[in-house]
Amino acid sequence: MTQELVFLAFAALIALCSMMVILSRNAVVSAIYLVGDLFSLAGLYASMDAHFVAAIQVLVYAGAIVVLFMFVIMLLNLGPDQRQHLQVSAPEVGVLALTIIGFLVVGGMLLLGQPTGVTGPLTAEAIENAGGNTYTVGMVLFTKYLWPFELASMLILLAIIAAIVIAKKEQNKDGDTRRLAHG
Amino acid sequence: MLFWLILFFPLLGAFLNGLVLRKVSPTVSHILGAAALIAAFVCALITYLQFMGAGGEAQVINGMDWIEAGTFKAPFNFILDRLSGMMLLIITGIGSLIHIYAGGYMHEEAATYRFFSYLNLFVFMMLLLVLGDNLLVMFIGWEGVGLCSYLLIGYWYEDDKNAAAGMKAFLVNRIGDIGFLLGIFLTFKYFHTISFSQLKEMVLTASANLSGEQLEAIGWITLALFVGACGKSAQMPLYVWLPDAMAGPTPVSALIHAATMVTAGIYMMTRLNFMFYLAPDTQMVVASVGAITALFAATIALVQYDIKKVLAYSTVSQLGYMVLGCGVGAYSAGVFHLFTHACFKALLFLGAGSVIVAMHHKQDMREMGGLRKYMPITHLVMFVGVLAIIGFPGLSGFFSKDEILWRAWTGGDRYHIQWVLGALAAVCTSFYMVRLLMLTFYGKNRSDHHTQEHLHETSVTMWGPLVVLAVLSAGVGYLNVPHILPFPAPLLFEHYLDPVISIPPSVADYWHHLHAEYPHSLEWGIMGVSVVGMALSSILAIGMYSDGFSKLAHSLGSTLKGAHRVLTHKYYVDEFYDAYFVSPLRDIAQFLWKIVDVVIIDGIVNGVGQACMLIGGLSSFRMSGSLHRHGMVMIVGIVCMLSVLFF
Amino acid sequence: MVSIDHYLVLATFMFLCGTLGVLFRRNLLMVLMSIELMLNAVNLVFVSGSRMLGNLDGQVMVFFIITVAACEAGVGLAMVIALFRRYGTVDTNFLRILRG
Repeated sequence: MTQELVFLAFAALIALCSMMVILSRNAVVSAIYLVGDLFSLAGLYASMDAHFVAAIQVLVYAGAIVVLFMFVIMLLNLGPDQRQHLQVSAPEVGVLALTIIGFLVVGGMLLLGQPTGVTGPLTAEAIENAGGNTYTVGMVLFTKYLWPFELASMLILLAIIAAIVIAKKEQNKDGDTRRLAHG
Repeated sequence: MLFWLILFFPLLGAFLNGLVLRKVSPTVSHILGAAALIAAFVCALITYLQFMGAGGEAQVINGMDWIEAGTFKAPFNFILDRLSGMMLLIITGIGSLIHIYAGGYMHEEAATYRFFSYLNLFVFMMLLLVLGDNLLVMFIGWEGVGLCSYLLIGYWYEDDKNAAAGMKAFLVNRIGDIGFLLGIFLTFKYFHTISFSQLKEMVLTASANLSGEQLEAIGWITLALFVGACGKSAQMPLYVWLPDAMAGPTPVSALIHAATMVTAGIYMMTRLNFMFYLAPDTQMVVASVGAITALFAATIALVQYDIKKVLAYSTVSQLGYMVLGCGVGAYSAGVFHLFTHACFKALLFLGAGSVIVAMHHKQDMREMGGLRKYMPITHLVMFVGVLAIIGFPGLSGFFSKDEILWRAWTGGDRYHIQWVLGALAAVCTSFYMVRLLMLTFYGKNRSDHHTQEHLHETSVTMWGPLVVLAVLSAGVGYLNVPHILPFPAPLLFEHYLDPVISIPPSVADYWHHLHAEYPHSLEWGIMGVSVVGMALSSILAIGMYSDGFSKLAHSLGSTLKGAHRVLTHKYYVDEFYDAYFVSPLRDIAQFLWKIVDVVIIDGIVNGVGQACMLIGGLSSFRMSGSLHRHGMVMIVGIVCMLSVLFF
Repeated sequence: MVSIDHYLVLATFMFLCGTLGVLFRRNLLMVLMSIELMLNAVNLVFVSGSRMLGNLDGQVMVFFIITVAACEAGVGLAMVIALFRRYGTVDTNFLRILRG
């Protein structure tokens, strides 16, 4: 029972925040709602005994990525979006309808054919016994997924370099502007 | 501990001079370079004395582990034995003298930090070569001295000729190095070790256990290594770099191309004497090449006008003697000649350098003459040097060169031809060296008035080392007096090197002539032939050149015009190499560059880029640029895909 | 008992919101935020799958997805800054450089 209540509470929060993210006019407000979304998701993860992922979600997603978004929003100093009727035209309404229907269909399909029960060695109890969620995730990460782990670190390095190069201030000597934006 | 300092000081000097103290005055660079060498010499001397005091047994000094790949081990080990100890003293001692001299020689240069840095680096590399306990450490030194030789020959690189000479030296050396590398590979393949001490043990004490395959391989290994020695020690056909190397400053010629680097080949062969003894065929090749080179270069030196070129060809010829000594199995005689040659050739080169400096860097002997009264000290020391090299009885060259010729003769019928070639070369040597002496120091002065005014003796930093070298050239010979002469301590040097030279028991019969007894009359006879030959050619040279080019010289030159032309053009060897090796290679390189690289490869690379842009251009006409449109299309596509999947 | 369907429906809803945001918002930053929303939906699917299947591969996958999302957000925001400097706007209607 508590499980269901917890889930319901978090789910409601998530649904609300997601809608507000895309409906707000102000970018900062959207970002705040996104944070709300992320925290609720983290809570949901925690309720599913995925403590490591929950912590990472809060630390990285909410704590770094959204902060980065905030920085950029404030750097660009944009005003609120002009509400211009969401700029829809006939083909776009059609596409919108198609999209929503498509997703409903997919959702229905998912609801029809789902697996039930637990079919794997790492049940919640097994994880508890083995030393906790973080420990077992770490074990899997550093043995089975070592290669992707290392490559991910390389990826981060590349992203850092790329971000620095792309966002560098253009230098105005010799009329050589614009070059740096292309990296 | 002192041992490491020997290596450390030259390296420190090279580092400080080359990288740190670049803006100091030339005097400071000079003092730093010379001090590094003198410190190294002192350490070497102390180490050597301690070593000999403890009995002079070979010891391996372990450095750090360097390469260990499977069974291949090449640690940084050093071997200190009688041979390497002697080389240490020669390198650091004569090196110090040359460093002192070089300060005076280079005093007109603006910035000499480069020069002394390279010189110190060279000494370091040479020490590595001599002290290494395995072929790979030796090879590091081998390559390092080649590099420093290149840097120093092309020291005045603004002039293209000097840079080209440096390149030539490096490239020809490299060709020899292929042989050396092959030797290393083969050694490892058949013996699974490249350490000298281990190889010695395998070949000598466990020689019965050597398989037939290994014995056969030794022939090839020694041949390959000898090719490397040819490159480094300027034997046929890889000697062409040495005369061109005279483009470098004279102290460089003295140190590198007379006393140390060129002796690396002989050192290497002596180090591996136990292997060479097991390969009589290779020994025959070695002896023949040595003898032919000795005579060949000596004939070229007969007609050269540049004082340094005469000395260069003389060096090639004397190296031929050393190689001949190794080839007949008389390694101690070869090494002894190396020792005496280092002394008197360095003396001769440095003396020539003094003359060149006095003549304001003119080197043509046709413009010299009569310098005896302007430069008395230089004349005296050069006189001693010339006497030493021609083998005048009593001075060092007499004892060392004649020992080699004696060993060649007593090697049996096999080596008689080499003796003849060597004897002829000795006759030529006396001729051209006395010719050099006469043309430079005697007769009337033939230079123009302006130069004549400025002729004077050099400073003490320059003639001081010369005097020391002259004393050495005169006295050092007494370390190896043959026993037929009345001298209390005969053949000291040969006995000194006995522990290093070891004939494997399986070939002891073949080489028995090295230890056999011979009638004294035979020895007197051979010695007499050499002395008489030397005397006759010296008298002829004095007659022909004591006052410039006499009528006899001119008439001989015109009657033997063809031969004279061939000799002046150095047998057209350089032209031959250029036509058959260098030019085709250059043409191939041009072709590869212009056609293969620029047209084909660049074409392919650029073509790929162009193709991409073309295709991109073709397909991009539908893109409207609107982000939203793109997003819509994408979502529609995904929905379609999912529907297909599910239905 | 909360079964996987509940989570999947929730995730689908989030994904839908994200898609609509990508399609219909004019501000480039909003588009990026919507993309983050979509990624989070996927994360939810993975974690719930991991729980239901008794396998931790799903959570490891989430780890990587978050990493990639961080890199992508970083680079994407850098590009937004560069675009803003160049064109003075982040309105997608005006950014049509890729017009073919």
